[in-house]
Amino acid sequence: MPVQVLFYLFACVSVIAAFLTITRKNPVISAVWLVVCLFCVAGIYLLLGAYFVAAVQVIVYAGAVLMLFLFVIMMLNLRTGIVGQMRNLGIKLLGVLIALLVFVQLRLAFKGVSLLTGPELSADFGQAASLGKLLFSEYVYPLEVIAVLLLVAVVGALVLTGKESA
Amino acid sequence: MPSYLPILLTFLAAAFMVGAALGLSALISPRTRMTEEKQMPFECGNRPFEEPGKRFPVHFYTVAILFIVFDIEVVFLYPWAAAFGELGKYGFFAAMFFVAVLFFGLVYEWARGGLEWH
Repeated sequence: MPVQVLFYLFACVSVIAAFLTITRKNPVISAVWLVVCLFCVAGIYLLLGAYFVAAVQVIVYAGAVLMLFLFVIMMLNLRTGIVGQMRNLGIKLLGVLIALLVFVQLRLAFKGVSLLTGPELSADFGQAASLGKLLFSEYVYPLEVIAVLLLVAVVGALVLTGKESA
Repeated sequence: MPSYLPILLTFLAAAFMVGAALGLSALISPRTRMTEEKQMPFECGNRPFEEPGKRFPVHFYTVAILFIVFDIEVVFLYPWAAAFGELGKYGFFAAMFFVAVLFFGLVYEWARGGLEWH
């Protein structure tokens, strides 16, 4: 029972925080609400037994990625109210359409799956060690692809922000 | 399911500290009129020289991106370390290759002067 109570708590808070994220006028405050949302999603991961993913969610998303978002907000010098002035109806409709498409797709993907009674999980499910065992044996190729992707990110960041002649 | 009670307690303690600090100062502090000077951000007694939220050098952003990249590298190395005993040679060389690819990134960054503050 407490697990379900916690789930509804995390789910409600994350939805409310997400709503506040997209409705605040000040982008910095939006970013702070996004932190709340990401923390709640991490809580849901915990309840699902994905312990390592939950920890990574907090370390990488709520920590590092949010910091990047704040950097971008400051970099672009977005002041209070500028976001509110974007009243392009076409963009908004497109956003609603894409959100609907994603929702329908998710609904189809979960068709016939009972979300309340999942499969039995092994005792070490979601722990870092069991993840590492899979990641460094069966999924080595995707792992190395990720390494190359991160390398591209390093090079891209340096090229985009670099001086005219290094 | 491992016990996450300590984490919950940490969060509760953090919430209590913030609540106590804000609540107590609201209770104890003398109620005086708010003036424009009082609401200004404190800058060593000076009036603020400029608006906050000024543009700043892109170099900070480069450092931030590079931090994230190597942060994610460590995130992937953590499960490797946790499962190291069972992975054997194959896992070891897989991880070494992973680190080597990103090591090229570090070398490139270093050579390009991304670690220096111009």
